[in-house]
Amino acid sequence: MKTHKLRERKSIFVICIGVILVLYALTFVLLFLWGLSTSLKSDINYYFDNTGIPEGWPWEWEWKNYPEVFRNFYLIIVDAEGNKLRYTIEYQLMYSLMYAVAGAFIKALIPCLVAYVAQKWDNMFSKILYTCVIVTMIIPIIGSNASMMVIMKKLRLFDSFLGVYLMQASFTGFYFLVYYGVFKGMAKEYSEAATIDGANEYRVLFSIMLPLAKATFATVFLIMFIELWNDYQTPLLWLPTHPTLAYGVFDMGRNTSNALSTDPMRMACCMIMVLPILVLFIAFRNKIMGNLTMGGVKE
Amino acid sequence: MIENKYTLESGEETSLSSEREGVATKKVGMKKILGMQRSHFIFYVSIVAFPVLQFLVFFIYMNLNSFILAFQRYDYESAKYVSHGFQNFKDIFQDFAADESMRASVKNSLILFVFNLVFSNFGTIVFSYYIYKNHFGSKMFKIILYAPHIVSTMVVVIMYQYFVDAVIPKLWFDLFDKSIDPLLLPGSDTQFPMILFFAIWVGFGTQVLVYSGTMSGISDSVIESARLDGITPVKELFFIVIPMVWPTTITFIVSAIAGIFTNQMHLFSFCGENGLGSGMETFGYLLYARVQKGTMADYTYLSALGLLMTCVAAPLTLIIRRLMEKYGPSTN
Repeated sequence: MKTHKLRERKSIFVICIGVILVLYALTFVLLFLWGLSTSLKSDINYYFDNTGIPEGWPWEWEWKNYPEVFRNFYLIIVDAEGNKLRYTIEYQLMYSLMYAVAGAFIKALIPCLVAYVAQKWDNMFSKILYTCVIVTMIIPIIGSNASMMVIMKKLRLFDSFLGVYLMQASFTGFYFLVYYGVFKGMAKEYSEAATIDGANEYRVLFSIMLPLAKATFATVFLIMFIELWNDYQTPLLWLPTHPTLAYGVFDMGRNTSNALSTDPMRMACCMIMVLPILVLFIAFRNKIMGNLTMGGVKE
Repeated sequence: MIENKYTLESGEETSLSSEREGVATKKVGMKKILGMQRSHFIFYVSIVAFPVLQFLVFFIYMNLNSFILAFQRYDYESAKYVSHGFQNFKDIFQDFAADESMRASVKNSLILFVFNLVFSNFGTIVFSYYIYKNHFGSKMFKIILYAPHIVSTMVVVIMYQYFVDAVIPKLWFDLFDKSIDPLLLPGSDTQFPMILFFAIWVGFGTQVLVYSGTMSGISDSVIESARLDGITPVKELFFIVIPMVWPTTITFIVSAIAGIFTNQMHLFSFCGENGLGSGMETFGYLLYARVQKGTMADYTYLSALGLLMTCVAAPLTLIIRRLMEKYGPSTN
């Protein structure tokens, strides 16, 4: 039997939304194209024409802006003792990786492990853990950075990666619930078979359950990695003398005294910052943009 | 023979003889409290010990310390925090009356909240509906709406700043033969609206993903039967889709209410610390920028400010959630 599907009705309302979305998309795409085109202009070319495409043929464009950015992308920070520290792009890249890769791994792993045990053993303590997650999500607590600063300084964890990793190692938040749902939906047969074969709980977790949840883990890791790679406020506040690339871009936006203070150079710098994330996003867009639901549908 | 029955993790019932009663009682007692065998208990503790300790220090102790700090001041001579009664709160109320920054942050935070509610939240639902119905270009729009979350905010801010300050005045001049000032010029009338526009413009991403994901869970039969009855897309959105995704709407509106006190409006990305005293501050910006710039002496005042905001935000969000759950649209 032929299945008959009703055609979607196109009303003025839908057309209006479509037009608004096209305009939105145009503003975003044009901004990026403008940024890219500006990054390939000379200062003089930009001065006389800041809207059009770069002068000349593509091979005559200012491609040298990019190596120039790599050479001059540094920032100078004055530490607590008054020493002037110079951080080149290599240092910033290293700190970015230390912050984003390790941080994303911690932020993806801790809720995963706690959700696994809380879901597996439905005892009083697991219920407390679950309640903690819900309560921290429902009740907004504001302005705790000041207290955190005092504690971090007291524990001598301020301005250290260890301190930031410890801050990130929280099991609370939305992803605990995601993992909880994933483990709850998994068939118990695999773990039970392994237990009968003599595998202990660690082996069941690391050899069976975590590999089964690897798709969710990878998605959470990717989302966290992108978030941390782009985050400049946390390093600025908690790692003042360990500048990441995002921190460097923030500094570049404010600083007018170095070689990157011209508009084409700044745009080239922005493009360099965007590139790795864009590649990552294109490669894993389906994972990153997979169906997320929150709150469910009313029956 | 006395038998103690208890249930294994697998659900299988077993019994213990009276000869082993002493040991068994101890074991059963433990099982009753934690519901697991000894080896499982060790495993459980080894997994949760560190996260629980982290939670105790970085959530419980940190918030407790924040509460205590709110009633203290920093004594430079002893380099310690000492009791200060309610003075920090008095200072805050005085500042609300006299300090331009504080007054501006109340006004701006509320303006941002209203714009977020009207444009971001409603806009997100409408855009998500378009994507959910799989109309022309939905996949592309989904990616583009999410793009500001992929790209560093700082990068988008820099490009937006230069575009708005350099390109728009030039285009304006070319089109209308009239010169205008850069739109983000500090102190100009256009600076705040342009930053507000930016905050709305980049704010759709995650919400669109969540809404369109949730909408895809709506049963096809509901939509099909409504369409057979001749429902229009507008009615379908307002009378079927929105009531069905109401729990998600509650989550986002409650987050927006909490956001009155935490949303920075990207002001730090635009102005850094220079936004302090500009008259464009929001509470979120004020709290971040002052901690970032502050010293040990400033943290007590900021903790008191945070405590005051929590006292307003926590009950407000709970009440609004309750009201929305109770009086929200019905799926009937």
